Amino acid sequence: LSIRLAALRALNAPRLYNGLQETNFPSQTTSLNDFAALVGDAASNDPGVSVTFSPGGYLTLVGDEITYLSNDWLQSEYALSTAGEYFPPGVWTPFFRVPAIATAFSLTVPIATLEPWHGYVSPLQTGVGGSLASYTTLAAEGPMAALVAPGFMIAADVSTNELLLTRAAQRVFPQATFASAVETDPEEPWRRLVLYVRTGIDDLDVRMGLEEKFYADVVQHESLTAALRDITVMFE
Amino acid sequence: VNPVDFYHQAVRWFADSADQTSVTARSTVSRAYYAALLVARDAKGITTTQDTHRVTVARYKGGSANDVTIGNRLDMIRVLRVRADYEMTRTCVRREAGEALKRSRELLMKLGAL
Repeated sequence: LSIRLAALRALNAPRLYNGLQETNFPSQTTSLNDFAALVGDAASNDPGVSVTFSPGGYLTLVGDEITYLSNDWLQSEYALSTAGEYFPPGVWTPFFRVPAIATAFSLTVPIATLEPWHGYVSPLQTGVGGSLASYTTLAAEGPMAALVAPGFMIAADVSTNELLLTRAAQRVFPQATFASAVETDPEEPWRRLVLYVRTGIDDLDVRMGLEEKFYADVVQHESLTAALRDITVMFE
Repeated sequence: VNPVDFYHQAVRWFADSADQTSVTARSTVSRAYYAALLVARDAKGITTTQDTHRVTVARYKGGSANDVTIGNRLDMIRVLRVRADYEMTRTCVRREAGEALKRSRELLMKLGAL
């Protein structure tokens, strides 16, 4: 079972999945230099479940009794995401669960380990249900980190569009740091997500020249164009 | 009034290097933005007087790929303008004014107004 981790809006509150009781998901915003994955650990007798972040670009999840949302749901909710060339259909399953959630754990992988990953896949925000009581990391070797838990629930709350744009900006501005905020316009009933790209480049001519490369990417890739419809990217 | 005149006025303010006041810098940012906004609005034939800023950006963001990038550029300048006009505790000096002018100029050129 190979699963690409991505999707789900960061702005939306976590929802109910397959009867899973919604909890106060401790949604965590990463610095973009980190890749955070929060995984709930079920203290059940389920067979071992492993989650592997591999250079191939997939979050691989292996285990029994894993349920997940249908692609129909995903495609209706996140059609833009699955339509992009970076997101081939059929590998989208960002939410999984197994019963008997008791504890949870988290894993943070430096983004450097994700460089071999395909394209613009790099979660910004993740969340997890259940209590965060303990964690286990069995392996973290080079570009691959593996988690093993005796059954778990994972809920990744990730803004795909934000990810896409972040990755696109990061390609042009590799030293940039990122932040995002929902900005409310002071004059009009207008709220939108602004992704701030702090380029670290003071020379405006240089910065704007690089921005052109970003926009060229946006025009070239339908998924990026779609993402930029919903999010304002602010280069600073 | 030709909206581009707002840009030219902002350029004149900016050219006066003796005037380093934040008030002038903020006014420069604001006029630079309005020049871009109004040209962009008119280019799309938008006539609404309600929520003009949002409607204009939304029109571009809902358009072609090139339009989407124009919408983003315009919204960037709007962010600068909101800071200049509403966030009085935030620094807004010559540097910010210069950036708004450059971004406005870039957009006006893409829209064929300069």
